[in-house]
Amino acid sequence: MVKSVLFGILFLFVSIGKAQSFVATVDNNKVAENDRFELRFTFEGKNLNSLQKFNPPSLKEFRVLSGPNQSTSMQIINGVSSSSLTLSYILLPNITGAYTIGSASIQYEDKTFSTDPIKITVVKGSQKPKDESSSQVSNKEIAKNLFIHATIDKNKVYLGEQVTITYKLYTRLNIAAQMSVDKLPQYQGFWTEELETARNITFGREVIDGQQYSVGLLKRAALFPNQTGKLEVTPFELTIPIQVQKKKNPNNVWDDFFGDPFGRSEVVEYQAKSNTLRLDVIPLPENNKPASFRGAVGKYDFDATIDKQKTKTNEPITLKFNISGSGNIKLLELPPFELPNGFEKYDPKIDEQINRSGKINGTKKAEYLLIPRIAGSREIPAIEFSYFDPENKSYHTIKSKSFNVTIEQGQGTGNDLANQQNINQLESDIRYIKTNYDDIEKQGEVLLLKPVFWVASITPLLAALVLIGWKRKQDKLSGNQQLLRYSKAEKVARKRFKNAKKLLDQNNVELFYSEISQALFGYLEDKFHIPKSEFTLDKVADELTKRNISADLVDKMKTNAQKCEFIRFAPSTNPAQAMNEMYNAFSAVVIDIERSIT
Amino acid sequence: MKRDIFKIILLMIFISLSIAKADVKSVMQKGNDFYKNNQYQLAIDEYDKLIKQGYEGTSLYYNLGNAHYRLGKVGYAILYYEKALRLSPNDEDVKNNLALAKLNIKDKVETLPPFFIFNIWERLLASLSVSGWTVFVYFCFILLLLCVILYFFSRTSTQQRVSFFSGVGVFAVLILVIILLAVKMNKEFNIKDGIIVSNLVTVKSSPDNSSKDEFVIHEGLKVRLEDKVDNWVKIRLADGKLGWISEENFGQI
Repeated sequence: MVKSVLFGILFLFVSIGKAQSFVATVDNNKVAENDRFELRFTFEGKNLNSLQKFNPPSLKEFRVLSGPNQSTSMQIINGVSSSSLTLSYILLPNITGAYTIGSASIQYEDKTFSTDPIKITVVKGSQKPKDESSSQVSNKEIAKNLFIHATIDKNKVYLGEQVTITYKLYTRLNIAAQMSVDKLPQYQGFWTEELETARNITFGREVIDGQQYSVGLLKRAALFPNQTGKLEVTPFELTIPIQVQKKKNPNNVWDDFFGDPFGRSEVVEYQAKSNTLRLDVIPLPENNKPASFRGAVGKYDFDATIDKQKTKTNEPITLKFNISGSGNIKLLELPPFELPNGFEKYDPKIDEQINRSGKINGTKKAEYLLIPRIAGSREIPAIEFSYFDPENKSYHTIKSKSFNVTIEQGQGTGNDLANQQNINQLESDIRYIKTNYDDIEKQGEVLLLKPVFWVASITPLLAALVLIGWKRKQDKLSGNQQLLRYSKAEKVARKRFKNAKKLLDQNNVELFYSEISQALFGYLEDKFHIPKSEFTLDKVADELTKRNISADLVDKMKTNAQKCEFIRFAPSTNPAQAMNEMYNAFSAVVIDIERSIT
Repeated sequence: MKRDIFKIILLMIFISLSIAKADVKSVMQKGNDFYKNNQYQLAIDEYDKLIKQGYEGTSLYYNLGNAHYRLGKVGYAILYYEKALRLSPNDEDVKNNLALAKLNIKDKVETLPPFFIFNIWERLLASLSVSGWTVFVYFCFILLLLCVILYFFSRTSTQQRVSFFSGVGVFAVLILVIILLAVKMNKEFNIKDGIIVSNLVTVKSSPDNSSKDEFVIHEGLKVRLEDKVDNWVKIRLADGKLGWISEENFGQI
C-alpha cells in the first residue's frame, strides 16, 4: 500500500518534471569546415498552441542553408499525451574556430524557456578542404574571375515609376554544370514584374579593366516602388559549379599518373553573390495633382465608349474603358465615374494584356454593364483619367466625351417595384418636425362622452321625427288621401267583414246588410278612387273592366250587389241562410278583385 | 340685460381660449426654434411644458419624438411617435420616422404572422383613432336619418325604394362602425401598451429587486402592460414572455 502510494508520488513527480522542456542539440559538436550540420531546438509539452515568441540565437558565424524548419509530433503513451515541436536549422560553418551558439528562448503559458548555449568546434575539413587546398584555388581568386553584377537603370525614381534591374554574370572561368539558385533577391517595397529573358544564358564578351569576360544575362525584373524613401534590393545568390585547373602538387609524384587524366581540372562549387542595390524613391509632386488622379504613373492613352445610345429600361448598356501605355498596368486603378440616377452598375469585366519585354506596357480593358431602370434621357458625364509622366515630371489628364443615352420604357415592371423599394429604404434620416401645431388641445374626454356629441346626435333625430310627423299630417290633409285610402281599402273592408260576421252571429239582419254592402262598396270606392256621390254599379263595372278584370268577376260582383240590395229591402224567409250566402259571396268577390289587381 | 350678461360670458370664454392657444403657440415656437438650432434637450424641455399642462396633439408628440431621436434616445422617440400615431394613425411623417426609429431596436421578438382576416381587422381598427371612429359613427347616423326622411318624403315608388335600400345599407355600415368603435375604445382604455425607454432593462420574475432575473430587453421594445404593483409593472412581450420591470423603465403609449 505504502509502496504503491510512494510509487504514485514518484511517478507524479517524474511526470511533472517532464512536463515541459526546451533543449538545443546539434548532430555533431565537431564539424569540418565544409560540412553542414543540423541545429535543433526541441520543445516538449502538452499544449503546443500556447507557444509564442521563439527567439533564435544569432547565427552569423554560419551560413544558414535552410531553416527554421518546423516539425511537430505527438505521442500518447498510457493515456498521457505529449507533443513536441522541433525547429531546426541546417548550417554551414564559414571559417575554422570555436564558436558558441547562444541560447534560444521561447514563451509557453507566460513562462519563458531558454536553451543552454552549445559549443561548436569547426576544424579544417578532411575531404574537400584538402582538395581545395591542393588545387589551391581560393574563393578570393574565383571572385576575381566570376561575379554577378546587378544594375538598375535609375537610382532615383518616383513612386510607382518603373525601375529595371538587371543581373549579369561575368566570368572568365568555365561553368561546369547547371547553376542553382540559393537565394532570390527580395524586392521589399516594390511591386515586381519579371521581365522575359532567354531560357538559356547566352554569353557575350565584355572587357572590364583590360580583362575579357564572358557576360551572360541572368535575370531582369521591372520594379515599381510602392513606398517612398531609401529602398534596398537584397543580393541574388547562386551556386555555380566551376571548372578549375588543377595545380600540380610537386610533392606527389603520382599525381601525374593518377590525377585527372583529361582536363586536369576539377569542379568547385562556388557561391556567387550579387551586389546589394540601393535606390531612392521620391514621392509624386503634390502641386497640380488632378482630382481624378488615382496613382497611375507612366505614359497612357485612355478612351471610353458605349455600345449604344438608345436602349429600353432593364436592357443593359456596355461602357468600355481602354487604357493603354507603359507603366504598372496591373495595379492601374480604373477611373471613377458618376452615373445619373436610375442606373445600376455591375462590377466590371477586366481584361489585361501585358508585354513584359523591356518597359512594361500593355492595355487594360474594362467593361461595365449598366442597366437603366427608369425611362428618360440621361447623360453620363465625361470620364477623366489622370496619370503622372515621370519623364516630363507632370500630370496629364485625358477626358473622354460625355454620353447621352435615351432610355425608353421597356417591359418588366416587377423590377421597377424592387427599385421603388430601394428608394424607400434610402430615406435614412427622420423627417423634419411639424411647424403647424393647430391640433394641440387640452387632453380632454373622449368625444363620445362629451355632451356636445349627444346633443349633436339627438337634435337631428328629434328634428327628423318631427319632420316625418308633420309630413304625415300633411299627407292626410292633402290629396294624398286617395293613396292612403287605396292602400287602406283592403284593411277597411276586412274590418267591416269582421263586423258583419259578428252581426251575422247576432242575427241582426238590417245592420248586417248595411255593413256588408258598406264593406264592398267602400272597398270599391277606395280602390278605384270613385267619389261616393258618383258611385253606381255600372261605373264600378266600367272601372273594373278598364283594369282588365275578367267579365266573369265583374258579373259576379254586379249580381251579388244587386242581390244584396234586393234582400236588404225584401227580407227572405230564411234570413240566416241568405245572410250566410251573402257574406260568403261578398268576401269572395273582394278577395278575387284584390287578387286580380295586385 | 340678460343678453348682455350672456354676451360678456361668451366673450370671456373666447378670450380665455385664445389666451391658452396663444400660449401653446409661443411654447411650440420656442421648442421648434431650439430644435432648429440643434439644442434638442432645450426643445424637449419646452415641449414637456405643454405635456405637463395636459396638452396633447400629433405635432407635439411628433416633434418630441424627433428631438429624442436626435439625442439618440430611441426608446422615448418610439414612445412619442406611437403616441402621435394613436391620435392620427395615417400621418405619413409619423409613420416614416417611427419605422426609422424602430430600425434601432435591438431585441427581435418572434411573432407569428397573424391570420390574414385578423390582419385586415387590425388594420381597419388602426386606420382611425377613437375620435375618428366616433365621427364616422355620427356621419353614418346622420346619413341614416336622411334616408328615413327621404323615404317618407318620396313621391314615387322608385324614390321610396332607393331611399329604403340605401337606408338599409347605411344601417349595416352604422352597425359595423359602432362595433369597430366599441372594440377600439375597449382597446384604448383596457389594453395598455408601452415602450421600454431605458437603454437596458433586466426583467424580474416578481415585483421585487431581489427576485430572479428572467431576461433582458433593450429600449424601443413594445410591451403590453398587464398589471401594476407599487412602482412595478408587469409586462408581456409579443411572444408571450412575462416579467416585472420597474415603472421608470417604461412609458405608456
